[in-house]
Amino acid sequence: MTTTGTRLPADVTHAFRCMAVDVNVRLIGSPSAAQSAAAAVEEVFRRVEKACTRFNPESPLMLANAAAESWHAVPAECFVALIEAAKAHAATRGRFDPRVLSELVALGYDRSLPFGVGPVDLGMRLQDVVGRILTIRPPWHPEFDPAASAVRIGPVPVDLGGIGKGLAVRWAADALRGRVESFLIEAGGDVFTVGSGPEGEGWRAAVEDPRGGDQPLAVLDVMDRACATSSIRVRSWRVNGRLVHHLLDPLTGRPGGEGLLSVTVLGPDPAWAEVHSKTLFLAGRNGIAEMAADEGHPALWVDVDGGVHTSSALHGALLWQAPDGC
Amino acid sequence: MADRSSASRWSAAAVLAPTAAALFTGVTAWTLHHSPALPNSSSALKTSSAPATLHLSPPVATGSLSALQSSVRRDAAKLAALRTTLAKLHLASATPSATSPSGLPPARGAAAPATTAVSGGSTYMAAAPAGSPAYVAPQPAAPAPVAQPAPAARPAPVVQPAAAAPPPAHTVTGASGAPK
Repeated sequence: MTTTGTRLPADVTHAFRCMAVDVNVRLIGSPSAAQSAAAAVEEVFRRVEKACTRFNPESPLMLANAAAESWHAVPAECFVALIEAAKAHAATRGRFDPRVLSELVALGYDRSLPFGVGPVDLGMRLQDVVGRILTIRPPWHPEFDPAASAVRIGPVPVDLGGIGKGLAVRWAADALRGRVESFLIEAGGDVFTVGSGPEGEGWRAAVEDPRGGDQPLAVLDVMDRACATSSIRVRSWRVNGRLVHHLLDPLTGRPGGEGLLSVTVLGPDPAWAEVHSKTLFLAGRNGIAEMAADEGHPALWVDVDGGVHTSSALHGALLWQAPDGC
Repeated sequence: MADRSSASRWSAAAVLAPTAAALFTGVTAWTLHHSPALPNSSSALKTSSAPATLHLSPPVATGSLSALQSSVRRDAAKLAALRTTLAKLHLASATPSATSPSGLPPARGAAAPATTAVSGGSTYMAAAPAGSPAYVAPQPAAPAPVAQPAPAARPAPVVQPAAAAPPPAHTVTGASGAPK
């Protein structure tokens, strides 16, 4: 934890790793309040990870997945995350579907892979993978008992990775409200800010180039907003030489978003921004513009040719955009 | 002199009066037979000559009034039923009341039971199987949520020229999420 500034308010930063991503927090407020608030943020993330991780077979989520058709009591974080996932599944007409765990496992993503430190090639035979992909899945009808905090997930196990991260950001922000004047939370590309920032001019987020490099593609005004990016820059690996990634299309059970490298979406809530960035990504290069316009999403996307595109709803938040060809 | 002048004035009046009368009669007769041309003289005349009319509904008989009152009561009942249905739909699409506005129960572990058995409490379900309490979650046919617009009070940002260096950012959104 780092504190700078000799007079109030203090500018406190805090970084830790959780849910397989780096989490960065920046807090503007009184020194004592900001430091206790930073600890509260980490506590929220730890609780969500413990309840919702799929990399621990003894986690409440995985036990509920194993229970399948029977009722299973889960902690509050897992219970509400499953409800939010069901709501997102319904609201997107099934385009968001957390029941891709079997396919991720089939593709070899059954553990936290060493992304970001070099090429990951699992050496699996692709035909073996395809044979294990569930191409026809039944409708999802999870059941929830609020009084008992119990769930009945259904026959197909779910993965709460993406929406769980967005919910952790949401709940961490809830823990910060009223404790500090202004703050920023970033977790693996999911961003949420409140207040006018350290300079009193708001918060700005640079959009990373999914092809690599240090130069951003754009800078966005994210003051009092959430921002999420779905990208295949890091979480991609090779199966018998063929590149696959973690953004699976629930209609096919295979990596989706043909022709796209990344999608960034702004919105009022980090969990829903995460959902919309994923569903827009899965629309692919040919469908994303129409979907973003129809649903009114402020979005920026990068195609495989390096083209950077924005929806009209984003323009009010677009502070800077790199010249073409950068 | 005075008498002569008076006599001549009366003589002139005696000549002019019949002439003026004849002229007035002639002009009047000519005018009656020569109306000015109007684009639609009949409608214009009708509009100008028709008296203003206030169409009043016929008096309502006592029987008709009671029938109307009955109809109003039936419609009010239908409206109340529709409002109830709407409230249920809102309730079904909302997070269960056990949770806070953010969706997270306020007290961790408070709702977690010691058993995995199905309780007799209300059940939040995406699809209610036979015999289960009906507390229905939104179905896939529900409309997609509309992204909320930016706050109205926010001043419009100024987009920097593309050639300029990017303004300093506080964070990065992307797969790596590296802090700046």
